[in-house]
Amino acid sequence: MEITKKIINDDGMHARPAGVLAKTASAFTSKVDILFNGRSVNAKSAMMVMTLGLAKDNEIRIQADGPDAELALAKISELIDSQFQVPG
Amino acid sequence: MKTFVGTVASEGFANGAVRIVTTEKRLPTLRASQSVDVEKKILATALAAATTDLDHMQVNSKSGVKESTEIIEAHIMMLQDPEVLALSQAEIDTGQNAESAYASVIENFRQMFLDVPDPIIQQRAIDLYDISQRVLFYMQFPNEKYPDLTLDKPTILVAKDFTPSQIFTIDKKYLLGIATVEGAPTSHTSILARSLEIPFLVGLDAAVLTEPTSTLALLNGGTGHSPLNPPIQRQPNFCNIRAIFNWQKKMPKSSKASRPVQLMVCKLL
Repeated sequence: MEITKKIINDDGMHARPAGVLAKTASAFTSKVDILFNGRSVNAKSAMMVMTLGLAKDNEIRIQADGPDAELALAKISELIDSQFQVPG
Repeated sequence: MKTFVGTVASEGFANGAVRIVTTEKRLPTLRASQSVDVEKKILATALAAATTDLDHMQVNSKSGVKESTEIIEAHIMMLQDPEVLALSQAEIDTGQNAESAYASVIENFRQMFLDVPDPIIQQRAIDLYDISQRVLFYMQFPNEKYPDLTLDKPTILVAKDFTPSQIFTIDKKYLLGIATVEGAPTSHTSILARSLEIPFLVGLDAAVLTEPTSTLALLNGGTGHSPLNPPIQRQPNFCNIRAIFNWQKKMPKSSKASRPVQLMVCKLL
């Protein structure tokens, strides 16, 4: 499964949002990857996500493969829309 | 008296004795690799020990300082990153010892961070260096305590650069101010200094590192857009620094970025 999302937070994908994304993706057993600029990285690794250098308005593809892929993509989509705010 | 000019990373004034800090980079040893299982255990044990240190820092950090908490969390996240672990284990599978395996993976990530055009991501390279030094130490000395920087009297710390964990662990009641040759206002060390309200200058000339420890210094991390020669410079009277800070704040701002300020040092009599 795959979705396309645009990064909308002003600061792009620095350590905090990358960490929140990785933590969210890690809650699922499915394999989750982020594709950008010809690279594909493990979304469960904040370090790998940071190496993409994602900035505001960058469009990324997110692929999930596994039993909870649909839910994983829904949660990550929600997270990006919320500009990586941790649900309180 | 000498004057060193830098850029404000954290505003404020400090006066007191300087301590020049030199930290040697810890490198992986060239020891022969043991079995794959033993090397993976060395890696896991060192990562766990480093994480325990950071957990303690988190508990001991000044309560209510959100930035400190977030920086420590970012370091823990780097220590527990699944790709770093998997890639390090893969290197061990090829016959490398745990230290070389981990160091080479961290170096690759460090280089990838430096290759990102965003200066804030580039600054995370020093965070990687910071955590990797702690992990390498625990691989080499699993039964010892990591030699964090300690102070026993009020001090202005001066070094080529400081890592965030060096500032986390230091006794803040003795830390008057910080000045470095390298560093940037966007580094986690700078963010930490601002959150803890510790004056911090970056970008000083490397000659500052040749000053002897115990030299007295007036660290002028004021607004930075004021004249570089306030009256205090001729006759240092450290009691007046707050008055000068307030005086400088009234001066018109010329630029928000790259504000040059000064660190004045004089021999301790």
